Amino acid sequence: MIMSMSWFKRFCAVNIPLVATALLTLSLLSILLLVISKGMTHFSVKPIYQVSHSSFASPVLGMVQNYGAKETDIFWFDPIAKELQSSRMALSEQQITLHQQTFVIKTRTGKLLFAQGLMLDDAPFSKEAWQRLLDENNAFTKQIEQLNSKIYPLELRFAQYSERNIPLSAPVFARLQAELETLHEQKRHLQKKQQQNRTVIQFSDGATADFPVSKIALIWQPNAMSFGEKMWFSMGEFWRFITSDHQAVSGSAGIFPALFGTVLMVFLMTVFVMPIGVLTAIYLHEYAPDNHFVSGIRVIIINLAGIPSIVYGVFGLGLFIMGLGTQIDQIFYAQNLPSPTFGTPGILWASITMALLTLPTVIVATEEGLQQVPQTLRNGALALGATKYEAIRFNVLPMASPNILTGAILSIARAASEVAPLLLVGAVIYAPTLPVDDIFPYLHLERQFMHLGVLIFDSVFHSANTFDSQSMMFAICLLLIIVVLSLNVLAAILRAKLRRRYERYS
Amino acid sequence: MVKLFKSTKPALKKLTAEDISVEISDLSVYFGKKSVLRDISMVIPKHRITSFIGQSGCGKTTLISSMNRMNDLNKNHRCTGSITIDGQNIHSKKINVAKLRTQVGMVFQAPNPFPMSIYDNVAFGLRLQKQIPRRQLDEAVERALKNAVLWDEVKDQLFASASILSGGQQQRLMIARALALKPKILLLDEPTSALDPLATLHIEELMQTLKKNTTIVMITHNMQQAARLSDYTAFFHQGELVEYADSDKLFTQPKHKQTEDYITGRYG
Ligand SMILES: Nc1ncnc2c1ncn2[C@@H]1O[C@H](COP(=O)(O)OP(=O)(O)OP(=O)(O)O)[C@@H](O)[C@H]1O
Ligand SMILES: [Mg+2]
Repeated sequence: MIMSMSWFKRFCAVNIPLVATALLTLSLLSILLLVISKGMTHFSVKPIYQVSHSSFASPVLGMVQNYGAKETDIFWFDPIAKELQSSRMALSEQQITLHQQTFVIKTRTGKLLFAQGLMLDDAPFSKEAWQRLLDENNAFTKQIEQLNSKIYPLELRFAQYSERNIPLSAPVFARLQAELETLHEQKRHLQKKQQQNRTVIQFSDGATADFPVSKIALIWQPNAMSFGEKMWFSMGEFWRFITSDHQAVSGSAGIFPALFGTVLMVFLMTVFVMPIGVLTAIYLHEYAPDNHFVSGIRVIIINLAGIPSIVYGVFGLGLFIMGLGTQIDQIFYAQNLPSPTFGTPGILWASITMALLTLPTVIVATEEGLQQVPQTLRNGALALGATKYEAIRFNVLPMASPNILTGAILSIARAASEVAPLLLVGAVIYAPTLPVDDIFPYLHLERQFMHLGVLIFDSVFHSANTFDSQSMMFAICLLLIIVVLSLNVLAAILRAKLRRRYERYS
Repeated sequence: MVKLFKSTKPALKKLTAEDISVEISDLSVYFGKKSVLRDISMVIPKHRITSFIGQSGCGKTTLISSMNRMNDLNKNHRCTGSITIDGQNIHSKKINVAKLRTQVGMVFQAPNPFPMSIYDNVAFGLRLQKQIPRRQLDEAVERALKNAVLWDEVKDQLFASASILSGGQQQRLMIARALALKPKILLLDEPTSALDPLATLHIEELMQTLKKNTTIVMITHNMQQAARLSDYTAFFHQGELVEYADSDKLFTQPKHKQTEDYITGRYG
């Protein structure tokens, strides 16, 4: 007993740091693994089963979750309501069958339809025929868009003429109207032809329905896919997930606006925080006198990092939005009042609030870097006739740059993962427009934006009933991790390069 | 070599205003409460080599740093008395300190290469002054490196980082860096302490050439060097100027006991 005790003690004395490190690594890895595996299922191809149950009038098609447990979740397509429903019921093996011939149809609005059969122009479904129909449809869409680009300027002129009260009988006006009419006629014709490309969907209860090709985004047959096809399809799903628009009505749409909003917010935050943080640190370390007041300020800055982030959110709301934004509106955007322009949450205020939140990090990291630059190096520059500013600019700052980048990395990581303050100052669950578009001035800093963290938040609390909301939550987590990680890796590579350049001098 | 110039060398007392480069009068320097230099009065003759010798910690570096006001960087620093360079008091408000330092070049006791290429190190001072065409800058850098006897060793790696150089090479790089600005006065703090005899010889030859149009002040712990190279030598002891004379005289017939003890190696 005593022997084993001393052995245990010795083990602890030597290995506690090791064990702690191992535990930490393990927990980190398990978090990552959980997020990755759960997140990836969002893009996997799920089989569609035929389920018979007394509560269904006829067998339905659906996705099955937790099969084998006492209660099985099924997400089934209701052929009458033409919508996905979720139910929880006990199912036996006999009640579930898997048919090769099952179609999943994704509409352009992100809705899913499960079908037993599919006819394309009176012929059974084949990939080639579907591709042909899709190409044709895209060609129509393109032609219509071309027509639109002719129609819109004309309509604008039309509206301008009527505004100036030019009589309808004027020859210019008449010609314009005729031109517009023919264009509209062409457009109607094209649209009609586009609608003629139809599919016939057969639902599980045997009923059929006509469905125009133009409304379909994607068709796949999950039960008939080979492993390679499934992989390819998953990659496509992932690509669509990060590049396509978010539709508030459906859970399975893309999250591009949120990805874009997150990256843009972090970018703007960096643009705001880095110059201010670095300049403040330079002032504190190089120029400020060495007295109690300055050391007091330093203590305050370090402690600012400990303030809960939600407090920053409230602060941003109060000072920037209600204070500054309202003032800006009254001075520059008076014509829009009472509807506010800057006096409302938006990406500008969000990124400034986050910049404020991460400012201490940057200042502390930069000061650390400045401290590491040897005094002899500054003296060398000064002895060659450099002013203090020149010595800092050409000698001190380059050597402190690895630390400055460390500050940037830390602040980016913090800003990308905060959610609470963003909810107060500009992040929303659904924003109809991106903060960047092709309308002058291209960057609309007053607009609200979507954010990955906010979407996660939202999917936890609000849309837990759709079949893929949970996997979507993990998928967004995965994406958030990827974004933060890749930003960090980028900065770390840059920092390593700079370090190698300067390490021999300090 | 010294012999060559000997005939034209006036005694310190007989220098005319024209022959004086730096005039120090009643200079006392304090770092905080500590008095480092006390009532130093001396003249540095123009276009000559003047050596400062003395025990470690006696204030030699402090004195030459006063001449380009590098001491100002120390927040505890305080000084009384005056230093006049070419008739101008360098403590006057009108003086642009950065400009003063380009004219009074300094090579520090320990090499402090900048974290940049060899070329950029030498070009640093010139680039701060004004826009110089690339060709001219190349020439200036080459000339400075050749003068500092470093050119042959680095001509193939001008754009390599200066940190790859050896200690002795770095010391010569520091000399080249100061020379590039063509200062009127050059302050050298133990410039050959890390050099082998051959490189030392080269640097000494360089100083002989430079003194045609540059005033050189050199700190050295090498008595032979001071004797053979410098025109005048000043001996300091614990912050005071003990003896200052023609090198030949100081090393052959020192007036003070302390000087004699020091140069004969009885202490220090
Ligand atoms: N920045 C400083 N702050 C306080 N004291 C200083 C400072 N620099 C030098 N001293 C003091 O001033 C005195 C003279 O120093 P200095 O560097 O001028 O000596 P030195 O003659 O150059 O010595 P060495 O031959 O060893 O280089 C020393 O006692 C030193 O401790
Ligand atoms: Mg010294």
